[in-house]
Amino acid sequence: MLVHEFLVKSARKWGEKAAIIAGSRQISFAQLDDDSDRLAVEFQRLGIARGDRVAVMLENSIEFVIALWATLKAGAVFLPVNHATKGGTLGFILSDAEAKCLIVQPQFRLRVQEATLQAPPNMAVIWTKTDDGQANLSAILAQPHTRPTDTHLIDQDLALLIYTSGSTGKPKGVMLTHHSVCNNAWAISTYLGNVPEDIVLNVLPMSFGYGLFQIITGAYTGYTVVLERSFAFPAEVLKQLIKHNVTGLPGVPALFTKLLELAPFEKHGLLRLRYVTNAAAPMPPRHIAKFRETLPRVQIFSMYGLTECTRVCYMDPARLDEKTASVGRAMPNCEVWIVDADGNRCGPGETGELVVRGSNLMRGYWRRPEDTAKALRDGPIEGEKLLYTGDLFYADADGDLFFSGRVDDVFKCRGEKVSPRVVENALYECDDIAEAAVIGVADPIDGMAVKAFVVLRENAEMNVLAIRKFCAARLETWLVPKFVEFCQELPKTESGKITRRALRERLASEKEGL
Amino acid sequence: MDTDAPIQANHPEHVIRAFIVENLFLNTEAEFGDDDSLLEVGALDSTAAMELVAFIEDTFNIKIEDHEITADNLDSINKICAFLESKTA
Repeated sequence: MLVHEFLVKSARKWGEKAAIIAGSRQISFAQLDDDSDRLAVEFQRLGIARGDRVAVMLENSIEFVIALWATLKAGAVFLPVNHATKGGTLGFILSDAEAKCLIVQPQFRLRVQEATLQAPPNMAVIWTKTDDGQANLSAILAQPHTRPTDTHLIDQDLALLIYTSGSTGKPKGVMLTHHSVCNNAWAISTYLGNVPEDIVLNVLPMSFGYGLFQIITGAYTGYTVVLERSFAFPAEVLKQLIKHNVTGLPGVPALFTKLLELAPFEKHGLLRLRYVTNAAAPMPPRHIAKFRETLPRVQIFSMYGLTECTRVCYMDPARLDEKTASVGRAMPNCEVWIVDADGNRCGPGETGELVVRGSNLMRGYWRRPEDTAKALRDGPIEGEKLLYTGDLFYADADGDLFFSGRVDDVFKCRGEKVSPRVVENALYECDDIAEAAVIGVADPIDGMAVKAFVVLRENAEMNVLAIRKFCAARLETWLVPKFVEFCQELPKTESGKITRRALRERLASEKEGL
Repeated sequence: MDTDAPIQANHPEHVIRAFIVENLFLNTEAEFGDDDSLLEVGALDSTAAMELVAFIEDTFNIKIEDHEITADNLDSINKICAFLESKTA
């Protein structure tokens, strides 16, 4: 089975039913099938062949979805890039992936200009709209309908290449095959109990696995997805939830915090809401209590996943109240266990690294054999690979999983991975900064927030705003330190290495002292 | 002498623009017009929207209700100015 066959089948079965609703526009499964054929034909005309990478930097939109299906139909690999990505990072990704084509909104022109300095010279750029006759998507979609040439893909071919920040610096491309994407759409929709009558509102960026899979699972099941571009205006998202009788809402804690503030005033409009899913950070128990009080019929799925295998586990909503902090057990067709530093399986209550086995696993990191070898290691069956997640968990006596931290210092802010090293590297680019260390601190809005400890050079004068602005020019918004503390010196190990652990411990003891 | 106050009162668009450029981390080289969507130019995400709301409340001494935090009211500099006018009228 190939991923785009989901769409072709749904178009045959559901025809004029809305596949995607975005603002005042909507597109049916049949139209989406036809439009993605048109764009796939254009890709092939441009010389894009089986296995080539097509990058897309768009906000959540119908165009994004057309580009996804068109890329797969042309036999190419879909590479979604977060629309907030800085020009330099975009350039790195396009070059690393050797993208053959970039589809992008005209609003991002400046960043695209910066990125094309690094991007492959023969890369085609398709703008969603233009006034000056450059290649644009509207014109391509106005062409008569023809079908792309069959590229004879098999399910071992790559479907997705999703970049994720590494713990040491440059982002890494996670390769997912058609086989694993199909498996994951089936597994996820199975445990969520998705039906064609579902209407799912997706406000998560589709450049992430979590957001992207709403579309793929929608095509697999035949449900309608309502797209929102952003959660900047929560009252508007709430209005859409009510207007479209939404039944499923995937989110992260920050989204639910705001929604739960507004929901009590609108709860009669939300009676159709059947489930919410939470990932990226645990849902605080007070949120769960608030859901029970305001919207008692909503099932809450507390989940855990990572780009390297899309999804791992979920808590059975019926048991959530017994263990609000747990992400439950493995999803269908997936197996997990926990190992200690020596690779031995941990018993109940013992913390170790979570290992995942299943068809959901990535093929590896794009052109990073060493990183791949670290993450994917030999399994019990000759030739089989297991995913070492780098996430620390323990399981209780019932086998329910509890997240307890990272093997390295990576943490999540606003659902995005933050590698302290990446932020520190940016800080060290500043001539006035002698030493810098970055850790995550608990934050009621962002889950975790970036905190930088900085030692300035002698006679250097820099305030917090100047440091944040310096970082903002180099880093994506979620990586910019929210807090900056100036220090005389930073704690170091005996070998002279700055230790983030000591900073975390210092903060914890300060908190206790309060 | 306090020279800032009259500028603020007469030209809220300057104050708001300065806040967005300084604090919401828009690439300062990017030009954006007073009618451009702040969402589209990448100046607003959910955290930035909350910061913007808090800034407007403090600077112009008004209270913005949850239901008023909408794209119609806040998604461009001109929309914010029109909204401010309606609140203070």
